[in-house]
Amino acid sequence: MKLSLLDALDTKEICSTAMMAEKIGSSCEMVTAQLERYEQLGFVKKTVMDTSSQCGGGCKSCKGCSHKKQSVPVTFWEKVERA
Amino acid sequence: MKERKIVLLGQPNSGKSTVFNNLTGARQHVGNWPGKTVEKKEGTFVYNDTTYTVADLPGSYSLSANSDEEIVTRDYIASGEAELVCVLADASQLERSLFMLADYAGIHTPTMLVLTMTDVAVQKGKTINISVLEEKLGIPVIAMNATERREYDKLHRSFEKALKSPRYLNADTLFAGYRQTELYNEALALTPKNGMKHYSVEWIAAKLMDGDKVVADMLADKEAVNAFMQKAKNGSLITSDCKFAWIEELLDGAVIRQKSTSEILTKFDRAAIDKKKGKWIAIGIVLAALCGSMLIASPFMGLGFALIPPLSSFVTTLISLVGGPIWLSDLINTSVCMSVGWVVAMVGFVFGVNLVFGYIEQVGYMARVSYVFDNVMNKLGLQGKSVMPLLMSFGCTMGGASGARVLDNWGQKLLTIALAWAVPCGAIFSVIPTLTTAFFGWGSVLVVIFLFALMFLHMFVTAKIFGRKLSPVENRAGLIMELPPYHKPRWKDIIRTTLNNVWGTFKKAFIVVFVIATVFWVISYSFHEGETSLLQKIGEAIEPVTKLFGLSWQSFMAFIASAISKEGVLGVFSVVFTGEGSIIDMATNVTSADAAITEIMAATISKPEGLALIVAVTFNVPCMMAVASTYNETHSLKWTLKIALYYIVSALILSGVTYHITNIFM
Repeated sequence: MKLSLLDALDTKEICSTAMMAEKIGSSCEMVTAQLERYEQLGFVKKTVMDTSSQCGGGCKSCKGCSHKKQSVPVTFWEKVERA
Repeated sequence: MKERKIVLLGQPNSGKSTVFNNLTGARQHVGNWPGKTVEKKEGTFVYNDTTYTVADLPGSYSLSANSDEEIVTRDYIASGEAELVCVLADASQLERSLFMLADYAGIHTPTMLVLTMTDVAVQKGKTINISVLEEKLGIPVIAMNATERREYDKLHRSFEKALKSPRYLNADTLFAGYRQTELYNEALALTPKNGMKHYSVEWIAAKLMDGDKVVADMLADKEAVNAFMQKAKNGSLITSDCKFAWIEELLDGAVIRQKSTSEILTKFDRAAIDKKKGKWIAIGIVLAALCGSMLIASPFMGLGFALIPPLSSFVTTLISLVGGPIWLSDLINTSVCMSVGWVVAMVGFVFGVNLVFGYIEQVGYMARVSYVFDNVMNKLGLQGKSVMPLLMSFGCTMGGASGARVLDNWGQKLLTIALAWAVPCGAIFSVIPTLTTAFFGWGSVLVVIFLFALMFLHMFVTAKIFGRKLSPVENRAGLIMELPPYHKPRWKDIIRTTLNNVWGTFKKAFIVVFVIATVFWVISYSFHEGETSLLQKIGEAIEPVTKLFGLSWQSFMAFIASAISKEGVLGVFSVVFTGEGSIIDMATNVTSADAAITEIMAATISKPEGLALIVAVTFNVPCMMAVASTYNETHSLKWTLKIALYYIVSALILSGVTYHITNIFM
């Protein structure tokens, strides 16, 4: 029987989408599609991080660093307790 | 003229509206669904003497009763008003977009599938075998690029054919998947044997599993249904997994993926994300990038220091010509000319580091660095998500502190911020190479490597000290990280960002160096010969203690200034090592008027003390803004002060240890 994606997320390690796909015998696109669904259902949390932000961007006069983004945002998915 | 009715069903961005607009053109009308605030769009077109009315149903991810849009959509389909349901799916991401078809499966209405965005699918290297899909689904399937007008004749013909000989979706394998779960069989027992309206028993049971209250209300045995709904809280997870398994089976043999990346790149990436090899590759690339940055920076540094003597001479001559006092020329030389020289030398490194690391970031490699160092993060008591705030701290500690917001666990967030303070920020990357080059010339590369090694040690010790309390093992979670694909860098963006950062650093650094140099000049200047300045008096009083940490009182003043802002170090040295007055003579024992500042520093400060100073400045509190930012993020004055005190003490201990060890060898 195939390992379910949510069970595979129970490890305390980081894993790339490709590695997870290999682990559960699926494709990267399928893993992403499943993660999106799990996020809707509240089993998974998605975090998108952009390392090009050089500041908190919280100051009144600051427009943030969005005008000078050069990095590629990185997406993390983590298993969470469903509310 | 005959009249037929078709509905378009699909997820948002499936190309549904494009198809609707191209089919109906100007013959559209928009209203509301009865009793709902959901937009109702209908339009008509004529083909082969038949008028087709097309209803564009609201775009939704599935047919669950989560919103008015979804309820309106499924009620309309199940009413039987439409003679054909045309399900649209994005061909470039069928794994996601076929979920709607899977959710629709079990509604007994003539169906056809239209795959849109075929051009994007081709770009992604995907070839779709339509006949395989048709055979598996039992319904007509066509693929088209919805923006191409010429493809609509094919669609018109397909509509005509599908209406002439209606076909129904075959989802037996999906239902067989459902039936393998006990919960689903319990749900089946609660549903009417012949289904309801156009809803089949399988569809109703699946919706009960999904916790669909609208469907539950339609069933007779309320008590049993309510009990089932309580029991099936995670039922939607089971049905979702069954649907994805069905989609995967559908696509097996129907979608062929061609390799789009080169063999070399694939091999490199395998090594780059390998837990062992990947670390060495990352270290090698970062070291090469640092050397490259230094190479780019060296002409700027030469220019910056070369600027100081002519600027100083010009100011001195000008003030003497207008009969100004000597102290004024000294003040301008110290606070303005020196600041300009330092800052020009410094921005060279900012330019080099931004250019080289911006390139690495943009090709998509940087995310891999954080990926391969995840187990190191685990050893530090952090989870993988903490890697990104730490990477952001290489730009600015404030960025790292605010980046830690994504961590839900307060302890992990605080520990991440505490460790982010140890990561050299952009200001350190500009000040430290300037100092290391002054003391060690080309050996500064080795000093920078030493600082990185010390950074890891510092982080490890800090994590051990704070980690046990703040981030216990049970709070750490597994993660999936989407690694971005490699791509060509956008040089225009890299150059623009680099120049923005250089200009930002220039402005900030000049102000900091200027203000600190002016303040220190005021408290250090002796207006009368033989008079001891305030700074000197304080310095001489504290020197017995500062010497324990390997720092003369002048270096200790620089250390204090570095807690305000790293650039402050240069402001202090501008005062201590240049200009006129007793403090200068005492500090340098050389006539400093015409000598280059780096030469004076190298002649005055021994190499062990220079290294101790560099260590102390690097691991001191990053800056006052970082302290404020930490307080903002943690809302804990106690922990903010604890971390600040820890960094001041640990920086001095590291400085003392570095001095006393290197003093034996140098």
